[in-house]
Amino acid sequence: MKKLFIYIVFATAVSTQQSCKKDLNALPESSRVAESVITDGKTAEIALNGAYYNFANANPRKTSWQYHELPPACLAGYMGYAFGLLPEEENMNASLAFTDYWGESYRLLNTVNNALKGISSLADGDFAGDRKKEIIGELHFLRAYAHFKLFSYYGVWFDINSPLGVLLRDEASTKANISKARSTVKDSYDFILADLDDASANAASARPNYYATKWAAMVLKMRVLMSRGAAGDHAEIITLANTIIQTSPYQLEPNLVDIFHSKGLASNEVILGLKPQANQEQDYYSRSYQYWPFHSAGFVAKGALKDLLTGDPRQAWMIGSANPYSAYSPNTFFFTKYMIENGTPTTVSETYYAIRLSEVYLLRAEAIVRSGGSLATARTDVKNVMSHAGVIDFTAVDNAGTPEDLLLQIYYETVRNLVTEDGQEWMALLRLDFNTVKLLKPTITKKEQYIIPIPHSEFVYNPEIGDQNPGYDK
Amino acid sequence: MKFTAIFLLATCLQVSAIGHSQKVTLSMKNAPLQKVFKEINRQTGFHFFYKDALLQQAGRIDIEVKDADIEEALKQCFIHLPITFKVLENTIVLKTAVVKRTDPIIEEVPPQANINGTVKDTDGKPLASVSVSVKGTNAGTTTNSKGEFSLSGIDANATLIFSIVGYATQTVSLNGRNNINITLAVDAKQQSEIVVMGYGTLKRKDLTGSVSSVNTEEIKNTPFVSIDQALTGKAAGVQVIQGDGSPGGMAKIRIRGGTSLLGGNDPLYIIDGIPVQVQNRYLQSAAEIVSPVERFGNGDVDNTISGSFTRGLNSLGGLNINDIETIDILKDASATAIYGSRAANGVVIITTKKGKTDQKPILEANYYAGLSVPIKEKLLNAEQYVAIMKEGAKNLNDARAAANPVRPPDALATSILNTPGFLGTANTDWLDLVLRNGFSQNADISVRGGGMSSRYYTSLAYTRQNGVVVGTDFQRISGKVNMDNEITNRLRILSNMDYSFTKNNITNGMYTQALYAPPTLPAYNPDGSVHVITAADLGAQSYQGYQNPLLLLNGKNKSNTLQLLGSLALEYDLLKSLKFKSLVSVNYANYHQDNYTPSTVMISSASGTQTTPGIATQAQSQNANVFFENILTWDKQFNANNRINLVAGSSWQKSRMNSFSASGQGFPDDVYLNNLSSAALALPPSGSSGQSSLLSFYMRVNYALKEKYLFTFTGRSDISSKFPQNNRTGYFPSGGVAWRMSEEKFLKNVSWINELKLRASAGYTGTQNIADNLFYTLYNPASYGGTNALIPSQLGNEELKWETTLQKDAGIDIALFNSRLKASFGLYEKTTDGVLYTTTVASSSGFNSLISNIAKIRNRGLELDFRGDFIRNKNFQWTGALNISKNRSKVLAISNDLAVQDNGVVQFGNTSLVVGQPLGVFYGRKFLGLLKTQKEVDDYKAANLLAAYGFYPYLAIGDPYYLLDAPVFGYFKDTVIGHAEPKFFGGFTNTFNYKNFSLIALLTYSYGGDIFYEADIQNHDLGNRTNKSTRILDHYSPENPNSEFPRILLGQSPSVYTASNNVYDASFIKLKSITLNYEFSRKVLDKAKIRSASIYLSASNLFTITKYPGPDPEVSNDPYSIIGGYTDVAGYPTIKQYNVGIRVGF
Repeated sequence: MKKLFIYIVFATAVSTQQSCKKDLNALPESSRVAESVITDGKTAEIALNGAYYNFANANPRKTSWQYHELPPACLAGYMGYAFGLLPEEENMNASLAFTDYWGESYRLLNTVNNALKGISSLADGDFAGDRKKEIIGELHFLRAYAHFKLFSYYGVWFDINSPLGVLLRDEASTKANISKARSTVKDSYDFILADLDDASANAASARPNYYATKWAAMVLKMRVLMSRGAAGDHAEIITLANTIIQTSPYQLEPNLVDIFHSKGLASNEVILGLKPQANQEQDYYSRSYQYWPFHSAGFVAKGALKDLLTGDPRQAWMIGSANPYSAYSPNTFFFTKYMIENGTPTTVSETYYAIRLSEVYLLRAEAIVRSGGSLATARTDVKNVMSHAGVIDFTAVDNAGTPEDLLLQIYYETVRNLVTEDGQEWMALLRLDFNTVKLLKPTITKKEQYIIPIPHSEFVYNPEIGDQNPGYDK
Repeated sequence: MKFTAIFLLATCLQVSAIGHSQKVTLSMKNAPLQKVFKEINRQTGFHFFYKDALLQQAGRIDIEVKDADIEEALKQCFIHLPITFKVLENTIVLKTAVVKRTDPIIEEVPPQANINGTVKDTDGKPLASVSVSVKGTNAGTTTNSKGEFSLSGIDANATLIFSIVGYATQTVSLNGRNNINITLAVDAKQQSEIVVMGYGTLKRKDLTGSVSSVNTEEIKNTPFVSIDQALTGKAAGVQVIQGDGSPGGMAKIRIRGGTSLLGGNDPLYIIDGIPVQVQNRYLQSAAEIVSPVERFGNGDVDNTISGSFTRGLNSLGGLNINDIETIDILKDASATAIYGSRAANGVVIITTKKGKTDQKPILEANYYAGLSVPIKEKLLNAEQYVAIMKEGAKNLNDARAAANPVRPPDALATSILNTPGFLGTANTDWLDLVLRNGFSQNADISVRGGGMSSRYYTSLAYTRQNGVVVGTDFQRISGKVNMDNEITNRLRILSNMDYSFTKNNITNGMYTQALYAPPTLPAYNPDGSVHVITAADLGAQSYQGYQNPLLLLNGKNKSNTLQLLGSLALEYDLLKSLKFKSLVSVNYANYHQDNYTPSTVMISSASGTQTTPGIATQAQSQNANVFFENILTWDKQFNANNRINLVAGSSWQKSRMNSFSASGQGFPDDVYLNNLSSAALALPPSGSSGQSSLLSFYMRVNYALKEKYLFTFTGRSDISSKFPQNNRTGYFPSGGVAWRMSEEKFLKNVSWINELKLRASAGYTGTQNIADNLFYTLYNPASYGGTNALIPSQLGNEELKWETTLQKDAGIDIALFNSRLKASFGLYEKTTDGVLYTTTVASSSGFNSLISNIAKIRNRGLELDFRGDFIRNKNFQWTGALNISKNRSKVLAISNDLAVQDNGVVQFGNTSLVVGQPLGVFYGRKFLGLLKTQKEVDDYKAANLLAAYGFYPYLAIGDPYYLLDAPVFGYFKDTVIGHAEPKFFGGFTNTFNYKNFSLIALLTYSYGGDIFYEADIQNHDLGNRTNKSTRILDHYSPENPNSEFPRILLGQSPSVYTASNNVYDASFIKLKSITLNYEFSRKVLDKAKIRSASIYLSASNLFTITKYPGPDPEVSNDPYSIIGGYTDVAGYPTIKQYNVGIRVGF
């Protein structure tokens, strides 16, 4: 009897141990563990879409891209807060109220890196055709986008010899790998461009335009090269622009206003945009309502933008009536590029734009001028873009006889055309001669104001990061 | 000669009585008597007096006695010798025995006898395992399962001693009889001394740890519906605070303070061996209603419904108090460590009733009906309300006239002053409309009994309690089926099932709304529809959420819970002292929740509040916990000096949960067609599922050395799926020692000390009452571009580990004067290290935080428990039990990053975690008083930043002022403004018996803790025209200059959210419950042919002595948390309950 008992106990113990182990290691059911996000081609697409979700800074209710569209326009002097002055408007970069690319971009980087890790373990056969390469290409585009966004605001991008580049993330975050130093400026450019080379080569050439294509990667590469401005960069920009303009399916929108007021992503000009979430237009705090009639917050066009659009048909649809709170924010106006006064938000008014074909023309024009090319050719590109906005008076462009003058005209058109989209007005301003910058935006007195400080908390929780940007406290 | 013998015997007895304390231990073989005498002399000092010839005749002897009386030892010496002795003072005189063969008293060989008999209890049921010993010898036996015993070859005149734990020991002289049938009576005192520990029982005298037992007799007739409320004031170190007066609602229970910031802090309940963890089952509904109270503090304003569920849904609500046999509260590590990772908050072991073998069925029935009466706020009536508003209006216009430059009279104020009936002409008593006296009733019935080898207990109870807020109630059907079978004399099969169906109707905030509805506004329009009260009617903002309480009447907030605790166990006696038990049990709960917010109700929304076309949510969750346990118990008495009790076992627990929720919006009407299928628009559903498991091995050894020195060692290892593989196993060892001083020689004969025990223990316990999967980096489903996406939702912490609590405990247990006075003192320190909490990480990781073991919390305390049997007459008895507890918590550390970021202060609503401070710290603005002079006014105006921005245009004498961080910034300075933790608390139970009457009264008290009276903030000013409490009548005015209530100015609100003038001392003494019972006498009962019958009256909360200005200082807005839960949000009034009941037994 005793023996039998011992056998029973032993047998039970062994079998429970086994079944216990399985249960103790059971994975969660309502979520996926990071390592098992990607198991096949289908889940790879879902993981990629998760990266786009972060790219759009989305939540279940809405996409939220105001950091991309507003702060650069404020820094450049064209947009402002409806009820007073934002530090952004005065280039008080140490205490920006509204600008945080940091968290948003690194969220995207973590998602991308985890997807890259998952996808690399799959065989090509798990995907149809070249889809594996394409997905990796798209992920590389998104990684380059996030790094370049960070680099443009938190790195000394305008000095190739500076050690103060971007904190590069190339693996999915774990508690152990959070602590990391920032890279040099040169390494930052190299890393970003390497990602873009892969994306330009391997990303799909046709995707819905809220997903990245090889064309989007090429435009982004143009932006990066334009920022670096090293020998050969401008030539490469021109080559890239030629390829896009000649071989891509995108066309300039015949009438610019149609993109923003009626077509949205349906426009042939949009290379990459953000598709609003379902019912996003019904959100009380939607972006549209913050341009009119101001729900909780309000953002307005400043006199500088209205003035720049004087005599331009765009003034009629981009600038509305005077801000009713002008007492707090004098010389400001409803900004009606997306949301018309007395209108109701729509999916179109909730659409954000990351890359449009107009920018390709403007960058090509700028590269031509900067590389000592024909001013006339450059003028053609600028005028082409302007004419699609309904402009018929090209006197200013035609009169720009020196490269400096023409660069200024290209900058002005960049503002008129691309203001409050993805920060191109601000980067274009900073590419001008420093004295011109100071003249155009008098609150900029030091080059340190080109970029902003890395958030204080990063130094607290990632002491390895290294130095703060010059002119700012850790 | 006969006379001499009697004389001698008498002297001997007398002497032996004197020399009683002289103990002798002898162990000699073939020893000459001289040598024996020498040894006795050495041990006792006694001298021997004899003739040498006597010893020469005697020769050598063998002797073996231990701790024997001198008389006994001598008897043993001379047992086979013709020698008698006489003890005179300290001299022993020996004589040759006079042998008279005819004298039966001194027969050389006593007559031998074979004895048999049976032992039964007072119910006539045979008692097994009763120890039967022959006095003065080593002979003895135990009774079998039929209560029978037999002894052979013993002295026909011997004395038998019958003893068994739980029964009074009986001594029977045989006097030549050879058949003995006796009845043992239950020793009530001894029986309560059995303590149910984890996986077994122990005698209280053997405890080395701290265990409080609750006498179920004291709580069975009290008007408490659920067990958690009934624990109030019953045990030292156990703090019980009722959440609010919701019917069947839950109480906050903390045993020696809380330890967890993320998980719950309730003790682990072991109900019939099955672990039950208290949890908030509420599932988020699609519509929340704004709480106008919490808008004025720092809490979450959108939580009227979820907060009501938090307080109104009780995980323990399904248990019927009448089914409970014993409640034991395990407090220190030596007692709790056997529950390892779930024991840090203490363990409450509840055992329900069982049947008895060979017992005729006993049917017991109990019925009571009761009335609950709300303890409510005192509000202004219409006349007072108008007077206050007019005074405020007049003050405003006076202030405007006095302003520089002069301001014209305020139009609204002028209208209030001059237009009769401007504020409304109704005279509505809103509290009367939403409150009622709740009727409750309970009926339960139980049958128990048993046959030769089976016993059963089964019960069924129905309870219904109507809440004092219209539309709220609690219903319960509960019961149990217990069946124990003895298959062979070694094998038993035990089965038990506790079940309950409970239904709660929870408030959606009607009472809160009624506190603010102006009495001058009508409840209904002339056409019978509910009058809508708008924000404009009150001079308020719509986001503040005021509405007519009657609009909420059609709302539905229901929950149904089915709970099953079932177990099937096999018990096998491997040896007489070694038992094996295998147990499969299940704890299953099915919860269904039904919410409907009618179209007329304002709900919270992104823009503050909005009305929608009605929103319904139905949600369901299921939790199934399956346990498989194997336990070995070895209970061995080696000899008189060594006794061991060993329990070893393993346990496997698997918990599965799943839940889903569906919502719809837009319904054709608010009353009938509001099922989900009637919704015009389906809202996004949600669902989740998951599992966790726990594999444990445990052991406990209790060792008693010489019945004086007691040792307990406990160890448990837990392997939990909630932790990463490398940290999955937790070890929880503990040890305890106790010294029963009263058993020592020097105290043994102090007759008034019955027990004096010193005990000390230390050990580790843990908590794992946290969410599953916290250590994984997780991706959750989302959607972008209309297709599926997976996005990171949580950064894992691969180093996540157990929260461990090191608990040290020391105590003294004393019983004096025949155990009529008992006292127990205890000291403890509980330090919880690695408390899990949210930790900030660098945002360049793509995350903001992860969960890690960062905080450290300490609880220290003192517990006193006195029990007295003061009067014990035939007709009148009085017993009392008083306990006093003190617990001091301290946050020793939160992570350094919080110190960097927030100065070590982490704010949660109205309370904060502050390093170096206790838990439950109120953090906010400091009220310094009312401005009394113009200079004070001017200085404050100059220093106050808001005043500079024109916030207080009429600042003047009589306005409140607060501590500012001036001159730096001029804004209000946040500081610690109160401590919720009481300095001490406890309860005092008195039981009086007079003939057939018994009266049990429980007083509870708490001293020195604060409470934040959030509902009162708006009563200090006329910032809006909501109704106020009558305390505003005492506001400051030149005629009433000593008031602490500011002067009133229409539309002006100088008060500031969470401030010290709304933090009050919540000390109280209350008559928590009182029960008067009348037991019908035997005579009456016999005539009616019933076994027992009693009637009783009981009441709860009859009176409270407190300085707290609110209705009741004993409330908690969040019973689960240790960070918060110290705020009076006036969500539901507390109640007085009156019951009348009858119990009958057949």
